[in-house]
Amino acid sequence: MNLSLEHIEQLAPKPSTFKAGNKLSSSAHWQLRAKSERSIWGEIKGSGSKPYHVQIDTVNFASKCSCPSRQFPCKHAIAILLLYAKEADSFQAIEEPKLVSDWLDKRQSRAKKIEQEEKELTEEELQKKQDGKAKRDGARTKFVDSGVEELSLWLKDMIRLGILNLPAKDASFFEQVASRMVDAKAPGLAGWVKGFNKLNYTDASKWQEQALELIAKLYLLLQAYEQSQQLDSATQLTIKSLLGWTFKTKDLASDENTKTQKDHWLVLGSTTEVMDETLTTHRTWLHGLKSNQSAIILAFETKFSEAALLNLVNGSIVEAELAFYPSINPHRAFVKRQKMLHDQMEDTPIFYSNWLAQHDAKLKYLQTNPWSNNRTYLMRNIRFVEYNGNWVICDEDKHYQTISFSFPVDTLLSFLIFSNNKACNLAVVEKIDGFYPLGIFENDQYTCL
Amino acid sequence: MKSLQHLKEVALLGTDKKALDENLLAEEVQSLLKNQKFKDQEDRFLKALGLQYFYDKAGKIPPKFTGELPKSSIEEKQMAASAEMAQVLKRILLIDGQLKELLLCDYMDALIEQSKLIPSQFIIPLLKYGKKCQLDTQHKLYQVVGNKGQWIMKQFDNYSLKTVLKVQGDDVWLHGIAKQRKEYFEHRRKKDIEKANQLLASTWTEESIREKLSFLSIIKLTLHEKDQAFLEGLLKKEFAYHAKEKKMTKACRKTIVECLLGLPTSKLFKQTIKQLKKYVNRKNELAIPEKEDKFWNAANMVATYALEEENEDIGQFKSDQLYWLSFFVENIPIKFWKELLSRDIKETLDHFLNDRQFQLKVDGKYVSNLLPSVYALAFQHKELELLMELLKHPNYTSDEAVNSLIKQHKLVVPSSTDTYNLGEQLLLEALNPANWEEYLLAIIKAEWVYNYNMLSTWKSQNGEWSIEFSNAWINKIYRLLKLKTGTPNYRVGILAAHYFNSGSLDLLKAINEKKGEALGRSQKFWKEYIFGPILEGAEIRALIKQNMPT
Repeated sequence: MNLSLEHIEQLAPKPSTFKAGNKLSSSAHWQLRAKSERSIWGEIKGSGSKPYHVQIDTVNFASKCSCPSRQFPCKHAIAILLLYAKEADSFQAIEEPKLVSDWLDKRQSRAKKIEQEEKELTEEELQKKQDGKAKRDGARTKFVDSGVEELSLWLKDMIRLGILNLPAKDASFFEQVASRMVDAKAPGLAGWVKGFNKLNYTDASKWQEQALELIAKLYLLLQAYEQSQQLDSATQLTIKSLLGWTFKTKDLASDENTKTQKDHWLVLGSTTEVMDETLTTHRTWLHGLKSNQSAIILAFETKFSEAALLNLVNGSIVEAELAFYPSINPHRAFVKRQKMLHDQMEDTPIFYSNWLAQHDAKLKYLQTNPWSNNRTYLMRNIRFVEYNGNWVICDEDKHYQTISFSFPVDTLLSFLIFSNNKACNLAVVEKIDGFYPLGIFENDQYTCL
Repeated sequence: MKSLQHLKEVALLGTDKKALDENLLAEEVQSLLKNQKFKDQEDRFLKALGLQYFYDKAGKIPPKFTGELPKSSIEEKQMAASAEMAQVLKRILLIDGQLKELLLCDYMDALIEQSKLIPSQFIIPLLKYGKKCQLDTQHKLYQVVGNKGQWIMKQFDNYSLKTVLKVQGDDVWLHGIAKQRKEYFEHRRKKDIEKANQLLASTWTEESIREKLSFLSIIKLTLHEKDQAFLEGLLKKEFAYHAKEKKMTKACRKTIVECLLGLPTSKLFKQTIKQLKKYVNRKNELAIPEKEDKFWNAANMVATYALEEENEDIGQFKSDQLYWLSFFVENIPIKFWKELLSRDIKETLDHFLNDRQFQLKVDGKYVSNLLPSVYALAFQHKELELLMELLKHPNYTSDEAVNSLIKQHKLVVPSSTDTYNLGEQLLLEALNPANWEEYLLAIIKAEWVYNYNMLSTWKSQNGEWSIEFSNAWINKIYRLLKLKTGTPNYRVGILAAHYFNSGSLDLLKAINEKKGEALGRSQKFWKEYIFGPILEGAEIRALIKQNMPT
């Protein structure tokens, strides 16, 4: 395990946890620190009478600590990781104590058990399981059908009366419709409706175009759902997914039809978006260095539940198997198995040579999935240029794309400094209002900014 | 795009008010619509919108940039700090509060020493952080952000440091605002007096009288024998005394005189000493005449020394002569007073401060008229012997004495949260490291180890405490915490984190390991505010040294 401070910082659930961990990351705080091939562990004096025992699974990252904190990893786990990053040699290589080996063995056996459990189902059990699912799907379809019908009417009403007064609408106007979509078991549609609240109403030219795009795509989705029986199963699943049909990762992992991909995945970057007061979405983009498959991993956080720990550090290369959610052009994925971190980029990914090439690729996605969004593109020889008072990303043929409104100025400046006014190879995500740079490739190294 | 514009107009007004005209849509879209069935006109519009939207999107290739692409990149002549140093910087940036800035300054000093730059990924975060830092920190930062950082500062006002113009060379001198020019001149004086004076001479005739006074004040603060010719030239011509002298001109002349009295080779100095000698009696006392004579008279004091005709503050000086004398005491180095009076430092000070002729009775107590001038002399000429002697006498450093001094000399005093003797603090700042440590270690009452203001006077020393001092300090603070004596100030830990000698870390760790628990309730304070910060600070300083050996 080779982790930098930046990597460990990203593993911390909160900046304050990282700071607190950093304060304890001096060897003087630790009464014991040791390592084995698959783990590091240590003991640190806490407020209790006994020292806290901290252990880290370094192969398939996980942490455990005897402190009462409900954060994972806790500040002690962060501290031992930081200490290891600074002074790996000061960790004694010794035999794992029972506490550590039991925990690691249990983790390994649990992973195997889940796979075995799925395989061990008899045909009868499997049939029963499928029947149950079909029944539940049928019941849900009735709800969703009514939701789709209601939303179609709502959209038509909006068009009949005109959208000129959209900026004057209160947020609750859209929230109420979104809530009804949730009631209709179509949370995906609720998200589309909430999109009206996020339009840039301060700029008339922008919100009008964005509203038209949103309306066009949403109505197309509703129409596609109504006629989905005529479409192939992959497209049907794509539409279902967009409407908010959830797929359990456990089911997908055991489904033979689920697309999986083993690769060395480069973690291109991540963003966190607070959708409203109740939901935060973490997006992490990956790129398969051998397969050139791109993937997005989503994690959701609410007031009552923290996002599942991803253990994916921006800029790192993870050897892992991803399983993709069903879609006509699979993109959303989850980590099925994660083996280890790699320091070096052994394979060079394929880049798009210019914006025209990227445009062609995008059209291919749109032909099969018109709602495709948040896709990453690796661009060769492009640079940041100021144009008419805005910063744009320009290729060597002088074609350019605008930068997303949500892209932080500080990060833009860091890109400017890092690229040093020269053409560079860049990873970008296409968002509704422009491109969002994630990181720079330079000399077989990827730096996430 | 016309098609989409039409669709937008219909959408904005609503299909009730404006009907969709399919003829305005793209031909391909029109033909696709012909084969469709529609439930109503809204359905028709929405389908047309979807088709036209994707039709346009597919055909809309990225726009072309018509300007010139930048041809040159920003080159750095200096190398960036190593990856190891980047990690050290990352650790510094994780620290909260004042210690972060202190350690950042150490870090930047090491970079400047080796002509290195901060790694480029830190430029933006540091420029943002630097805006909140002290001027000196910003100045250092400016030197380590390299051409890339300076380019950012030029392009984006929000990231520009206050000192951005300060070191941009002579352009600031010619085009900067008054404050920037003064800062630049002071900066140049500290680096190369001759060049700074050449710069001043090049624009002197064009400067306003107010600016001239500012520059003369800077010369006074950074006085050097190389200034003598320039100052004597000014006094002879431009600032020669004449009867209808304006207020600002007189202020300039007074500053020139003050400077020349500090330069023993100047004509004015020699002439003044010659005159003062006449007033030293057989008892080696300075006997100032009660009535005006050839030297101690208003006309001479105004014409030669730019003083006022009479005592400005009758509350402080009981005679005009004493008021004039205070001026000489303040500006002639102590060495010459000792020679003049044939006394050692203690006796000289005793004479100035305890001789009844120089004292005034206030509320039944005798207060020296000359104490503020003695203080000012100690600071102006960094008179170590004088500083130490003043520190030995509590009555010389009393708040009364010092407040008067501050008022009279408009000294900038740091805001104090501790109850502390201000005079002592001012004097400590002017001491050298050995004397500073010697003085503090000699203090019997152990609470000084908690005294932030007192310990912070070390900042002028620029380096670590000695091992002996660090050992003594940590032992004393441990003992006080254990006995729960006094009120600990958490900020002393920040200072110690910056100044604690790394050679004393073993002692610190041993105390923590073996005796930490014995502190009881004070253990939390010890861990959070003493042990933790010191260890972190010492580790970081050690890493800076290790990666950037000087």
